[in-house]
Amino acid sequence: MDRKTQRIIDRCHKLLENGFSLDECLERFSSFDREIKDYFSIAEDIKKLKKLSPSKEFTKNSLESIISRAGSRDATEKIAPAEVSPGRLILRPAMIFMAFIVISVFSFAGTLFASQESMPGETLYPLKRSFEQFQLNIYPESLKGGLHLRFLGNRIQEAEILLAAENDIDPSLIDELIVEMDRQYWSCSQYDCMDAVHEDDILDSIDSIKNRYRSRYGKEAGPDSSTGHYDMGRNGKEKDSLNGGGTGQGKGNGGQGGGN
Amino acid sequence: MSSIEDYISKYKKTGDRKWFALIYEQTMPRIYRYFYFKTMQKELSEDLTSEVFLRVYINLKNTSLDGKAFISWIYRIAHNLLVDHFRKENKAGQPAREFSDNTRVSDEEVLKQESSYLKKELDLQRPELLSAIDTLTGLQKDVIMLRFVEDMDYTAIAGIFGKNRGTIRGIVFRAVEKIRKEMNRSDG
Repeated sequence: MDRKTQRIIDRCHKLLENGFSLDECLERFSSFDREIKDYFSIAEDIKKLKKLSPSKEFTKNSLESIISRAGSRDATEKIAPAEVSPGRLILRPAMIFMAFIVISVFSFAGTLFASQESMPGETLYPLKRSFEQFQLNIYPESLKGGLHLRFLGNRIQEAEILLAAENDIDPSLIDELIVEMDRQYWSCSQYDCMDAVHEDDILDSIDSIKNRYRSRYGKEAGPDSSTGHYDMGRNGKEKDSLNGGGTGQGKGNGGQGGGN
Repeated sequence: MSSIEDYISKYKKTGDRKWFALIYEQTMPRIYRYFYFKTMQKELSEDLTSEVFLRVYINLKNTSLDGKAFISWIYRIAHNLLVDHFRKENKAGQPAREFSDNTRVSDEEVLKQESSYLKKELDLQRPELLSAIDTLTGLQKDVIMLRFVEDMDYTAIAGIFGKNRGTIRGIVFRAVEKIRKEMNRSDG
């Protein structure tokens, strides 16, 4: 039965409800004569089932029986729940718990994944940094150099993005990144994580960031130099080598005082 | 206010059984027909009908139902009860149909016996209608029965089965088409 026929039949239903006869409907939609007749003839046949009724005995006695049964049932009984097998009783909470765990794990993994693209000052950024720290804690020593190098790259990239931003950026965010860059550089060098060419490129990037920071905000990045300035860029390294032996010790102290 | 609404409201206020008796009188035959249509067994339909009204009697006072919602509610109870009944029978490995004398018989035999009863009882001109209805799915039977026997509109039926009006309308047309084809096949 196509949609058009269905619509015509619905209209006939409306006409019948409003007191029209089936013949009037057939007359109005004569091109659907056969379909309408078939449909309403079946409907009429089914309607005859209205005559079905329970036995007289049932009709007479059932209500009394229901009321007496209700009295014998627990007064607090509500609509009887479907029978639950003992297996289900245990499985259902276990499945709910498992679903909760799976959803939690996926939610956390999703958040963690999203946090990897976050920038300093954003809500998820602390999660990104915590995850980096977590990786440092669990990775074997042989891989830690590579991790420090990667995190150093992340900090450089973040600082570049913040410095390139045209709107006002909180200088403390870049400041903190520069301190972290120095720290990662120092840690990375402890593991001999880069070759000389690579190291030169990185030091150039760090120096460039520090210079731009200085010229934009008119101050050095990191803690005040008089109280122990982090300076592991090329300048700091050169100063270290001029001071002779200061480099090793400076690095050993997390780069603090390397230039002094 | 329709009479059924009136009775429900009075029964809830007073708790007087005479109002429940009137509710029962008006709705019991509909629920019986619903079960009979689905099971084609008189005694089973009566037992299930009693069970429905037992639940209604216990719970009605605690509900906040008006007339229309009451009808939907009572059919939902009936539907759930029937589903439970068939589930239990399947678990027990019993046939879905069994006569009151516990003689297990085949579906065809049941239908034959019930057909002759219905033909006599209902004066059916085309008893093959019953075999045609029997080929419908459970949901199609429910919907057809509520639509044509109980004269419910699509929206009210949709409320009982938690479906939308368009779905119910589609089910009605597909079911009628299936019945028509089955009856034509029997004729041919």
